[in-house]
Amino acid sequence: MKRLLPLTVAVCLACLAAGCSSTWTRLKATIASPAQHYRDLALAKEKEDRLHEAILLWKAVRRLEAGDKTAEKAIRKLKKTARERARRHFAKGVNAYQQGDFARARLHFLTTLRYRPDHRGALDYLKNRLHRKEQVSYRIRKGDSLSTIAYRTYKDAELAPVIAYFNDLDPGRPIFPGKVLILPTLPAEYLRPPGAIEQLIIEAREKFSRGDLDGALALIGQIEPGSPHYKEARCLADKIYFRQAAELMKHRQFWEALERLKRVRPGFKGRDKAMARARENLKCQAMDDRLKLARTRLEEGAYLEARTVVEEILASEPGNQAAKSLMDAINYAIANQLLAEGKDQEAIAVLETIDPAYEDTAVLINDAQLRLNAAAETHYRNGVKYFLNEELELAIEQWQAALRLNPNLDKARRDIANARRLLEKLEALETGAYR
Amino acid sequence: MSAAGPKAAAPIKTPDFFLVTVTEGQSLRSLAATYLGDSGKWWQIAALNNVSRAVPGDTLVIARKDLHPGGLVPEGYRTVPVLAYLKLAGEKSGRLVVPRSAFERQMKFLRDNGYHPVSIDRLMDYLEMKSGLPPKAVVITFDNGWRSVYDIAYPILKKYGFPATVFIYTDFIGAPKALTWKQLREMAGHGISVQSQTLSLPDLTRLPPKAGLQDHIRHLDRELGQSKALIRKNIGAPCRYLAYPFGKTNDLVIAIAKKFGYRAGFTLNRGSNPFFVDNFKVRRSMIYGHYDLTQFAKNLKVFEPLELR
Repeated sequence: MKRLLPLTVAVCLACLAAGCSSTWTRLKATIASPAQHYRDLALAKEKEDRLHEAILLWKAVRRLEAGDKTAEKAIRKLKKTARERARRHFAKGVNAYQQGDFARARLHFLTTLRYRPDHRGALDYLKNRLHRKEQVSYRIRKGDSLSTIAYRTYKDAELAPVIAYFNDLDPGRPIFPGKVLILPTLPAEYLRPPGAIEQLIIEAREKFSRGDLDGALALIGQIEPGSPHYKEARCLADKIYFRQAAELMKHRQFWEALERLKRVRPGFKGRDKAMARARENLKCQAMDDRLKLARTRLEEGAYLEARTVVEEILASEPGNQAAKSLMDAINYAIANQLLAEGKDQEAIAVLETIDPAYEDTAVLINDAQLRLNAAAETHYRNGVKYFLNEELELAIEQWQAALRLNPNLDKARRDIANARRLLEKLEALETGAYR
Repeated sequence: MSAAGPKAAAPIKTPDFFLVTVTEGQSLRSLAATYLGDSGKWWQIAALNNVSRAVPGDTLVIARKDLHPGGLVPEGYRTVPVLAYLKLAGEKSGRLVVPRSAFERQMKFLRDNGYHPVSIDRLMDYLEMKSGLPPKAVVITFDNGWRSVYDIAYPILKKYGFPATVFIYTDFIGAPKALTWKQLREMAGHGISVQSQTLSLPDLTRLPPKAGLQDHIRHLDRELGQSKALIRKNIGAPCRYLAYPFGKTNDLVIAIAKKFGYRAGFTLNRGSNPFFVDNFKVRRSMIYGHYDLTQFAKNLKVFEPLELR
């Protein structure tokens, strides 16, 4: 190389004097290996920010000098740089686009594409989104017709055949949800200017589509029966009332929903079914309200009032399980109250009306019965004491009390009979019947 | 590169590029034809290797795909002017009539100043980022289908080897001062593309009085559809481009053009076209009869400076 140095200098000077860059490139190449030549060229391209050219030239270097690791490293670095710059500019472009600064957005998308020519997003913005669209696509939804789509798009249902034309459809045949239609943008001068009433309907439709149902109804209300487009307005009113009813049903305001449905003209699709559903819900709701009332009364301790309400429900609907369960709860509460008051016998009577499996009903009945039996036994013994003291009438009272508490206490029944016989004999002796 | 030795090494082929040692008799054009399948892509080899010609012994890297799709470079982006001529005449000129001598001078100006007239198909491939264009690419078009295109422009274009496009309105073809289908077929066989300018050259944007929109759509359907079909039938080549009569268009016309499968629409809005121009609003600059070369050159803007870093 040392021997070549003077030659190199001479060539450089000659080339500079000639002012010819391509000659310089070639002459430079004569004194360097092809790989070195492309390495230099790659670095120059990189400096000029022509990253893809630099990458390709580094690939040539790699191909010419298989062991050269600098080439591999440079390719990786340049690819990464290109990717990162593209990402950064694309983000800036989207941001500018969203802010409505389309010139700046275009600049960044162009830069993105320069760093990444295959960047689909940037290309889409440049070729499509930054241009005014002469047509849009629309996916057919359930309930759509060409007329409704035409109305929504052009405010003129009579333009349905235009949509049919652009989509090669027969305007007389139904369309199916899911199909994508092309809707051309029609220049404003081609569209029929709407009249005052049509304008009202258009505005009402817009309010309706935005969910402002009351606003839409207010506008529709301005259109007198018999005026042009009244039929159209009435159809829209039906839709509005129906939608209002649906909203009210969602909030369980069935009565109000039914009122709205009554305003929808008969024959409107879904009206009858919705009314039946509202009535059914109303009935259920009435039942629910009464059950709720009974539960409230139970919680307040107004057991008898609660029981009256539930009894009424069960009278009209004997199979109502919720009412039955509530009745058990009420009776259970009443029974406990009676037990607390020491009214075991009444408590047992109430407890016996409850499902034995409810809470500890069976145990309560048993305990109350044992207490009654013990009290009956006490009365019985008191009766015996009176009997032994020959106070027969008092004895009978005690045994009768025992029997009231325990009707199965046969010995009390026998002793009462015996005591009564003795009383009769004593009475006979006193009156002289015994002689 | 002489370091490769006087004998040419076998070309190296990779998925991204060829490494080729230039042999005697090879030029950048012949290399582009051999390795890229298109001699018109010679400029890609020149730009990547920083050379202006192929020298035997040099090793050149030939990228297998365009490294600057859309003509994007750090300093800006490329634009393509589309020139529109209407009528030509032997000597007399008028606003829309370009004299033969002026047309000849303009074509010579293009050649002498390194402009590369390209076909309309190549322009569209470029606009769709499918392929690149040579530097200073320009497209030449003629409107209506006047006979002077055949008598005056065609021989000059042939002489320079320039492709061009004639937009015809088919009702005019065969009229006394108009082209005939035979002439159009002949020109089509020599690099002149024949495309549509509708059936009867109406203002497509104007809704006729008392006509409804649907009548108008039927009218546009006929104008755009029948002319396309007639050209295909008579020329035997697809008609894919539409020049709007008087350069006037609107959304409805474009939507119908798209429906008929037109690939692009040409206006008469003056200016050059970047790759991201709306394909259905391609700009064209009308060349008037009184233009001198300075005025003509003003319509040849091929680059838009913009810092793209």
